[in-house]
Amino acid sequence: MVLIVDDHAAFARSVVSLLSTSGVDAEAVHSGAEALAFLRDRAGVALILLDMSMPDMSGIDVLRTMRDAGDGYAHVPPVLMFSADDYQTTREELIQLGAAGFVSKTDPAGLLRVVAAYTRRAEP
Amino acid sequence: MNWLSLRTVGGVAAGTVCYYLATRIAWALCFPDSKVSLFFPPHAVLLCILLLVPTRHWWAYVLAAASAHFLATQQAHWPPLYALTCEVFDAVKCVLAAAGTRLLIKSPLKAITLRDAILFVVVAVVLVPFGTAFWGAAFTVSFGYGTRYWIEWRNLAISNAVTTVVLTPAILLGARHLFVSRPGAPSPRRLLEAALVGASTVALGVFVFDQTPAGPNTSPALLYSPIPLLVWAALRFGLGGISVSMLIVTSQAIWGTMHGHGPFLTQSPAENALALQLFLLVTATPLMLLAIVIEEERRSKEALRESANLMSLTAEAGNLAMWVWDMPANELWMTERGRALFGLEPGVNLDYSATFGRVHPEDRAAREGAIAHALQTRGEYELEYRVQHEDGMARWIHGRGRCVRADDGTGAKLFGVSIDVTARKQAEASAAQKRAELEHVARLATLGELTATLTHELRQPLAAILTSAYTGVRLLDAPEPDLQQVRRTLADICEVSERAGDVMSGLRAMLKRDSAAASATDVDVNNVIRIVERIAHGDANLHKVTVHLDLAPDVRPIKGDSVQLQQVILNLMLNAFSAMSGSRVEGARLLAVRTKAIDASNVLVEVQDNGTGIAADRLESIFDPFVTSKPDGLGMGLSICRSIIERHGGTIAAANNRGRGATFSITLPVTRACI
Repeated sequence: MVLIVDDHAAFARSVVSLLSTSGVDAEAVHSGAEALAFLRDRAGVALILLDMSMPDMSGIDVLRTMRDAGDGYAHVPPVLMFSADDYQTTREELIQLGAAGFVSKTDPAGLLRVVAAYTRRAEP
Repeated sequence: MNWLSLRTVGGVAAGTVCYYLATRIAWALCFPDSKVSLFFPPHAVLLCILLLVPTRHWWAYVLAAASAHFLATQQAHWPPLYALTCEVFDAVKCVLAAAGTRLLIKSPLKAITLRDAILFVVVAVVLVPFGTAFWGAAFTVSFGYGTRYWIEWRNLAISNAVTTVVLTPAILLGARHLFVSRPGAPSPRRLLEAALVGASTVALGVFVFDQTPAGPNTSPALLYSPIPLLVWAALRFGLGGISVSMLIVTSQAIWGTMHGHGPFLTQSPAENALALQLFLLVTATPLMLLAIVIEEERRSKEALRESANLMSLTAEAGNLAMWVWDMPANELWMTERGRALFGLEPGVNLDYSATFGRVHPEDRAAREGAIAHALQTRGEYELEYRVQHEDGMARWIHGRGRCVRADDGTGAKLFGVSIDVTARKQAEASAAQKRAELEHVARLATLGELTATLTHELRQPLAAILTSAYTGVRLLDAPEPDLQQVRRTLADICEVSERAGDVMSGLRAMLKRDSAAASATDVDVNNVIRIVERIAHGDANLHKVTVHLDLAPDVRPIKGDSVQLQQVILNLMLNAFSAMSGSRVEGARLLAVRTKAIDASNVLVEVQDNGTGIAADRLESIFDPFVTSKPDGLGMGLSICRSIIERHGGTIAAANNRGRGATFSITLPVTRACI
């Protein structure tokens, strides 16, 4: 299952629909706190699509919390960041914090390809 | 008892001398077989003195007059008791007449009205002389100076009445000329006319009262021949003229009567005297009243002229145009300034349509409505409107009118003043323009703060639309397309596009220059807040602020400018973000924007944060210009917010929360049609 974390509900919903066309199961939450709670409570998340800019915690805050919590998130799935070109933060910093890669919000075909790659790897 | 001043003592002495002389004259004018005088000047002298001096000095003048009379009687060897009774009688009738006159007549002599004159006649010419005569006749008979009571009563009463009506006005007017006012020299023409009427009266008097021997062969009608001259004097010279003429005629008539001359049928001086007295009484009284009516008329004309002069001076000084519209006749009178203001030709006859045609077409309905309402309620109207001249020049007019109807409800007239307020209107427009420019600059600055996050934010709906569209294509590409799913996807696209469109329009309007010119429309406050929330969403994320909207669905639209209201809400939200970004602030950063209906006619908007709050010493001045807590702020934001809210008829206030942060509260009146 893919977890989509984005405070723009309409966009998150559109990604859920897109993934469903490839038969990928997805769920959307709209804040960093919801994402962390989801991960604590639910197993079987194969991939996280994480937005950079959210009101309560930014994508960086979520990554940092997961990294610092250590055992609390023993089975941290790979995290793909939605492209953060508009932000000052460099990609290197995100990679250091544990991000697996980047996807663009405006490239649905690319998104599908990347998700397909990760979900196949997770569910061999 | 007051001690009398030197001046009063002088007055009393002069009064005494006058009274003594008047007594001597009176005795010369006695009925042949009676101690009762034909004409009794002392009565008029004392009455006039009492009318002219303060009442607190009356005792002195009355005492002095009695002494003078007593001195004269003793010189004439009257029995002292009879003389003293006469003193008391004279004093009582003078005091009664003077007191009655003073009590009833409050006008000064120069402003005497017909009502005043009639009261004077009733009290001083009828009631007092005829009333006191009952007593006077009684003691005259009892002292043996008369034999027939009713004859004495008649003689006393008529003698005092005639004296009062003929002599009192003459003395009072003479005294006024002597002591109070000295009018400027009359014109030669008027002097000539006065001389002519005086000379004619004297000449006629000589002919009628001296040259005509009394007897059965005379014509009694001759007695009335002076009347045209007296009327002339009354009409042209007022109360003064009739008084002097009457005095001339009276003197000549008395002289003639006592010498057996005049247009009288008998040669008995007593009978002729009665006829003469009655003639004087019935002539002098109406002519005096006539003179007073004429003077009243003249005074009111003068007052009218003065008020017209004053009005035109006021109108000129205040640049006022005046007009009167006679409704039934549809005639319009207008001052020259008014014609210039409305662009109408001087000298042309005007009616209502003349001004109506000049009013700017957009303002005609409002002006018509105001005037119709004033006519209907017989009230007033006041409004500002534009007029357009034929050469295309437009002027702003502040107009005010009042409907006046005659007492019987007919003949309504509309009185109006108009003032040219073009310069003020231009200044207001220019100030509004400057204000709009300032607000525009402030809006640009506010949006400038957002550029970094705004572009990111604007891409979000595009990303959603693109993703949904791609999803739709893939759904349709399936061997058996799930059309329900496709439909939902398209609906998503519609919704997101619409919302994005709203935000784009809001942004575009805020960037546009001339939002002040936008006319007020019905604005949904909730919608304004939603749009601003989208615009500021990226900035909220940047500051890690969660924005919570709590918008009451029953909030009614307000009349206003949505762009300006967006500017206010955006300003408050961005300020709140700053207040919550300080390093001292811990925990979740929450911003709540609430709307609710306070009552049927007002909406409340609250913007509440949990930031650092407002320093106590800034709470008062926070809306003043150039007051800011930001190191790089200009301090115009909140000042502009207040000016915008106040232009919308609302209020804005700031207060610190009980816990953390501050709340800005705005109240706005809802659209009138909704109340």
